[in-house]
Amino acid sequence: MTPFFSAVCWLSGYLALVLAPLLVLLIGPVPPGSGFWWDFSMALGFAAMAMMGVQFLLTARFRRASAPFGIDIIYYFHRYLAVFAFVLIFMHYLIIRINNVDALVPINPMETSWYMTAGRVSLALFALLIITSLWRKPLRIHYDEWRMLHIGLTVAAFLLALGHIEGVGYYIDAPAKRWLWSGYTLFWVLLIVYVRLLKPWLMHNRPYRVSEVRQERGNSWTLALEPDGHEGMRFKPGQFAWLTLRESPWHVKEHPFSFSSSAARQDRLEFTIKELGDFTRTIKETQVGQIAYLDGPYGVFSVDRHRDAPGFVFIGGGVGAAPIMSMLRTLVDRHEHRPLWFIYGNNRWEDVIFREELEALKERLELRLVHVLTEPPTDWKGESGFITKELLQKVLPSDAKKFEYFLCGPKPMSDAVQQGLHALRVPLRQVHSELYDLV
Amino acid sequence: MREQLARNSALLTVVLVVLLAVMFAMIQNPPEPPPITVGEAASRPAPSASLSVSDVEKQVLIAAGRRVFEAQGCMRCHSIAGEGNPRYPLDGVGERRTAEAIRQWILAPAELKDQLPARAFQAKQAYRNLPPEDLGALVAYLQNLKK
Repeated sequence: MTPFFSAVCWLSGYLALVLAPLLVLLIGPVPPGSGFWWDFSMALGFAAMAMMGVQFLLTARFRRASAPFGIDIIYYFHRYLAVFAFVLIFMHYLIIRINNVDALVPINPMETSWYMTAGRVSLALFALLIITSLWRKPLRIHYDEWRMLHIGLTVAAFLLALGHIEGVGYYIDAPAKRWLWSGYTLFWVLLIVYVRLLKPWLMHNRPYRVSEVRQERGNSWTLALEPDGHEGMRFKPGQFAWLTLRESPWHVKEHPFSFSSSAARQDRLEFTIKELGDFTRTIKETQVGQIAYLDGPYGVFSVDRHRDAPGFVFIGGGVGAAPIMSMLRTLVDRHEHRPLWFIYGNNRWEDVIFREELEALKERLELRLVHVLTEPPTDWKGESGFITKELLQKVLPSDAKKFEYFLCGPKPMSDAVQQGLHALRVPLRQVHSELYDLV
Repeated sequence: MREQLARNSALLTVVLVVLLAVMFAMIQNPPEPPPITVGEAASRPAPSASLSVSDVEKQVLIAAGRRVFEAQGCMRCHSIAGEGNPRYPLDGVGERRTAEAIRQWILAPAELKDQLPARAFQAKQAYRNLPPEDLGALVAYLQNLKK
């Protein structure tokens, strides 16, 4: 199955799932119409509910479903959908508020039916959910705390909304619909059980042990993991995994990192991690022998998805070199002969991660390595400044548009390079980049 | 570019969902055929200009009934002339039901349990505590609702 075809299949499946409740409403005996706006508002409520339900599915990290798109895109999709679904929920409320305010019960929960209060609280929780997710950093919410908050708020808001629908009960009164609706609800509940209980249990049965903690240049550390009692993880070079360190997999304290080791070895997995945040600063304190868990591999940022390419151009900045290093090390192990370029941006020469090993790789690969420094030493003879269109034109051959490009670095660099490549008439579908920094 | 793909697919989904919701609302509410009015207006009795004493008393009672109707939050489940919850309209109930039947439907005795949604049956039990004069006014108000 081609990636395009499977993408279409998964997208149709997604739409069917979102639209199912509306279709269920239309079959069988339907209560008489209650005016366009009333019925429109109710339909929006049901549709938004289905969209929120599918959100659980999107973040369940089903590897096969995410493979054609890349899981980073799924998370972006999840984010946009959440905002749109919230708008629909709010419209559901607003239409009644404007068009038929008498049908609304008093706000005070003591004077009103529980299911109307449930609906209102659910709306407020969904709002809170969106605010804390879109503005987590300005609100200074710690990542681990945010994840717990996110899970708690989601489940609460979702259950309250289900209670609201059950309590009102206009549309789902017919027995057949009640069954279908209950089935739909059960499906979501099972999904939560899978994601929060079963999947961590599967991870728990495949533990890893830390076998080395190695300091790299540029405040970075390489963490090596070896499987404990199983054969390890087969991944494509450039992919990543969610890493749980020093915690049980049920604690949901996991963080995504790219593999930096060769994919030819699945019994020793390495991650190169720069000290940037609360969690990454603790990597250096890790002890050999400590337990770790992995959820992966994920991602479409890999040379293995473009096996027929005549050559590859890697463009990385700082620790963005980690997945590129994984691809280069893998290509060495496979005795690669195609031409390769690595344009590597850093601030200072001392901070260039993998500097010595990259020099050595030039002996074993058709690799042209171009260092670009923003703060070059006084005797620097190489490239300096940013990776601009002019630099790309100078470094790359005239037939640059036939290669596949892998881009991994800070967003300003990534944007500038994409524009540069576009100006050099490299088709955008040949420029691959991973979106990270999701929340 | 991939970020735009995610945004556009999400947008497409929402557009499809809203379209289907519009479709649902339109299927539920087919346009009504224009009412046949020929001759009907003429046959309706013109409102009487002079009111007798009993008419005035009746109007006062009906007005009191309307206040009870509003105060008890009847519009959370019922609508009159498009005001309130359109799911259970009461327009013209005075033509369909006798005063006694209306009283029964308000109080919801056990015999009506099977004919009412469980939630409505439950809610109506509270109306047994209405003062008799309020209940009488409410029945008079509803009895007066003609098409």
